[in-house]
Amino acid sequence: MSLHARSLVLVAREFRMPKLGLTMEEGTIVEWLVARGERVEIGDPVLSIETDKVETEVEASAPGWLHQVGDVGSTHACGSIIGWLADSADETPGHSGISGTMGSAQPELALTDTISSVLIASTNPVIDGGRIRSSPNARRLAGELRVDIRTLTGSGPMGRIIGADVLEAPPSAASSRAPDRATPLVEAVSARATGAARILADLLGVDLAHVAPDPIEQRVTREGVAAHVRRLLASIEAAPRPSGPSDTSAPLPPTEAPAAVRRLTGMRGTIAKRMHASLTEMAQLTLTMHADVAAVLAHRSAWREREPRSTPGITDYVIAAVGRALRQHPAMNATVTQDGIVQLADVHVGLAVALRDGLLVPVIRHADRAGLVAISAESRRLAAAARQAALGPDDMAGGTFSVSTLGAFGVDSFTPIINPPNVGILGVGRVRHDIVLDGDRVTTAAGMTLSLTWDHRALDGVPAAAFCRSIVEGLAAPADLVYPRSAR
Amino acid sequence: MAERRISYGAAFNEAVRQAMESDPDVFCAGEDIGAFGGVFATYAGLQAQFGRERVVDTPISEQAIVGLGIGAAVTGLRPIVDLMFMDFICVAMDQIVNQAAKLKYMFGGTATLPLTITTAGGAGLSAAAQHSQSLEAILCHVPGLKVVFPSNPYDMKGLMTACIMDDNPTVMIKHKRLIGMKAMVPEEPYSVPLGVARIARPGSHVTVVSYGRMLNESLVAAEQLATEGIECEVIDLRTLQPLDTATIVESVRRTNHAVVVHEAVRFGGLGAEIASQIQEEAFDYLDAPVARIGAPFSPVPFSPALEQHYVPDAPRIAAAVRDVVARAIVGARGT
Repeated sequence: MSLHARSLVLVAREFRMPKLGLTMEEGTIVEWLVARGERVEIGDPVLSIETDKVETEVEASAPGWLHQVGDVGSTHACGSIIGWLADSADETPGHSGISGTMGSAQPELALTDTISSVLIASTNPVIDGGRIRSSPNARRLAGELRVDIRTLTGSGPMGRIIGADVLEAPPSAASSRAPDRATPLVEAVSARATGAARILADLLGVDLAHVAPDPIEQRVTREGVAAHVRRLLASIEAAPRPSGPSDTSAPLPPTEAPAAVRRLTGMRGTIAKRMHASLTEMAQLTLTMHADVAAVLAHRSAWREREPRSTPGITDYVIAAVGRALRQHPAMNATVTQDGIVQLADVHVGLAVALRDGLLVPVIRHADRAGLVAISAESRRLAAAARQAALGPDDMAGGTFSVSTLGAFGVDSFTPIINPPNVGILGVGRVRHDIVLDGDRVTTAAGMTLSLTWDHRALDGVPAAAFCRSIVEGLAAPADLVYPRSAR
Repeated sequence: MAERRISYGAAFNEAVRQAMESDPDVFCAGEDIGAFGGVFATYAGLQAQFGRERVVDTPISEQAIVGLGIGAAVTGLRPIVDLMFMDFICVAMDQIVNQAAKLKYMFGGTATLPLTITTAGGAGLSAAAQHSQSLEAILCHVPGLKVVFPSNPYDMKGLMTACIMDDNPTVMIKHKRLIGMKAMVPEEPYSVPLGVARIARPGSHVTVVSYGRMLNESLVAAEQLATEGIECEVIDLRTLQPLDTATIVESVRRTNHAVVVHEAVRFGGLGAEIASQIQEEAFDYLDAPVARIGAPFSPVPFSPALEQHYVPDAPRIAAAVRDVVARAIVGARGT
């Protein structure tokens, strides 16, 4: 048997059912246009086939004497053998021991591998192991033009698909050129990689599309594949078992020789994910504005003399002023959804509370109408609960705006990041005592810088500045913040 | 710029003559270059003009000739030393490889070696196996040497001038069969920069990289192929070391095919280095493996018939180009 097979290598080439388009799976033989044992030349029409779309003629890709395998009316999968092109008319089926092999039910099982290796121009460039023989240039162009290289027929040496085959791709293959029809297949074909990288990726089952290309070589290298696999292994080993790696954004590759590695899980992971999403999804920008807080300081020291235990903090004054400003400027009390900018009915101000290990933003409800006493009591309760990890879900939900204060750490101004789905956040700086010129008189003034970040998708600079101005005005009249306002 | 038609050999002679006229530190030394003017007459008339002090006939000792040049160069002169046949560099290899190419490095950059070694390479005169070799790859393998191999009279004069003016050891290879080749050459001195290739013929289908005599054969092949619809871009390397990889790669990225042609034997030849650099820098642009054309791995035969068969020629180059760009006629391509 094997001896017969070897001799066949030299005398016959398989003739396969062609794949004429992306969606063609099989074809039916309508008519053999060349009789059994007749001589055909390259390009001669050999048979007519019918696909689910069209009836067409198939030409010979090599010269030889035709031996038919498929019968008229029979249906064959693309790539299956429907005939042979032999080097002589003598070795016809039924006339020799060799022909017995060819005529048997599955001749290709014994023959395909050896025969494929001597093909000069096959109708199907798939070679051993399912690899498609294609030039580097063809693969690059296929990626750039989004052509499915598997639908092409190679015209280069050894049946290799070359760049010109991609450029001349027939309409069936070109249908996948539409940029909105990107398929995973196309991505895989388009990944630029060195030969060594492809071999290693094949061996390890790595999808080259997931491996970052070498920045200098501009294609995936063997080292890149190895680093990718090492990283995957490291992340599997380091991940907490079933109790759950978090849904954090994809970890960055570790830097060399880290002093310490802290995984982006739990609260850290949530902060990383939310803050990164905030900056990538919104059009954020920050303005700063000076606020005179002399009145607040005076108000507060008077309060302390009268009622030291309930004295509000500076931040409480700010929250009260923010709440009232939000009521005046509903555009800032909003959220951006797929439907558009949604103005929210209630005003709930989140307060960023720093913890040893992260940050929580509990919410002070109805800050627009709550009085300073209530705000102060609530902010104290929430801060304490946050530090004791005793916040309930209701304490955290529903904020429509946020306030973050770094004044206690000597910060004047900063660029806070919006806590999604809000459209604004106010950063509160430290209280400063500045020397100022009042007319022609030198005096001191207490002030702070407010840093307002807002989402430019929701509102523009002038309304944002007007909102901030309202806060400044609120802080200039602290007595108005003391008493609750009636709900409207 | 006044031009006239002169030969490759005369262009070489003129470059040397003009350098000697303008710089008294330039002198020549070699076997039979004085009274006889060199076996290919490339030094003809120089001794008569500049005297025996500046155009020195030496004994038959290549080691001594190159050593003389190195010593003169490192002590302040600008010597041109001639090795009659390229085959004879093997006799002077210690001086060339271990001294000329190394001194600047060994002295921490303080030594300057404005030395030019000239020699005649290549087959085609039925001069047999010891007088016909193309050994340029051996020279290009040695860090510290610059190697030039002009393909025409214009480049010959410009490259020779550049070699003389260069402050590092250079090797000028003249091809024996090109000595009589004539072309328009400017009268006044000029130099062709070292390390810069030239696109001798633009084309879009395949890049043919060559130098020296084979560049001319490649141009003949390109002319024939053009009648068949194959447009070759022919690159004349001019300088082999340092190699102008950028020009080659830029061209191959456009044509997607490359053929390297040289007269030296294929194995370990410059074509291997060029093919390697192409696959390193233009791998994703190749439609076919880079083809190399060179002599078979054999000494150059003495028999004129065999020698003609041994040296690559335009038909052989054309055949190789056809193989690289050939496309099969494929049946059943689409509906």
